[in-house]
Amino acid sequence: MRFLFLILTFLSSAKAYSHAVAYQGAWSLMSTNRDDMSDLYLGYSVTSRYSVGVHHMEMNMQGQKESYSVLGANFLLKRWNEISSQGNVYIGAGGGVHRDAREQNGATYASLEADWESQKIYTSAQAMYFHENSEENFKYFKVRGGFAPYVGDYKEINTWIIWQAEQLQDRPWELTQLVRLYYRNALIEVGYRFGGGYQFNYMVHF
Amino acid sequence: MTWIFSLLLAASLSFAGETQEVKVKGMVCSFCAQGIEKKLKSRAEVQGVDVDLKGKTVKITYKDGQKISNDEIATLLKDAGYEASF
Repeated sequence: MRFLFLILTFLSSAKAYSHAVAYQGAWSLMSTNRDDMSDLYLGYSVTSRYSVGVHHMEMNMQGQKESYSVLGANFLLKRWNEISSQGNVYIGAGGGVHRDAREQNGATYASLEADWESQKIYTSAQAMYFHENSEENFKYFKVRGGFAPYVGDYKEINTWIIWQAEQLQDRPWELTQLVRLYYRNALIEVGYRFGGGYQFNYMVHF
Repeated sequence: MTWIFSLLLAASLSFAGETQEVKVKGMVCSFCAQGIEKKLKSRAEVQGVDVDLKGKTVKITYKDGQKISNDEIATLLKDAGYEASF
């Protein structure tokens, strides 16, 4: 059960600080790093509505190393482009392999994600359904909200303050506060979880 | 030496064509701006692109005697995921 929670955290966090689909022909390199795990994602936007990507995750739990490799796709269902804001609805699905010292299992997931942002306000929500073998299924929810203390231009550093809440199944919600810094095609996020633990994310589009 | 640089600068400026300013819907972040800049710069007719994220506009500088139609600009911006407003 616990490794699934970590996997879901990885899958969601890698997409949470960026749109799941970028511009046509864009490559996206993303990484999420926590005190107990790390994740690397490489994605390619085939069009501005469809992207594919590969995740590799590694975690260390109570001295036991585990890894997860997954191939996934994201589709932009709907985008609202306004002069001062943008809203999106995405769906995603994928499958992969989980490995630990004892065994190797296949797993699949599906996700629904929505976001809305202006240059001052940012919000997103995500729901995921995770299936491993025929015995266990899991639900995962995450919401994010943030604001920019100032409006930055393209060739300036843009700063965001973000709060993130997430829940797996019936477990208590976990809250993380983050600072996000943007500069042109690169982004970093540094966060602290209430209850202990850090998070460091980065992303580059090229 | 200085006069050579001045001459080169003057020559490059003299070859710059007309400029066009386009309002872009949905351009709210640096990643958006980067995608739009990259798409427009991929065209041979374009000499330079200046993104104004705060003003939600893109200024396109064309090479001398060249230009892209509004329909083509709209298509390029659509490929980047955004909407042009002329």
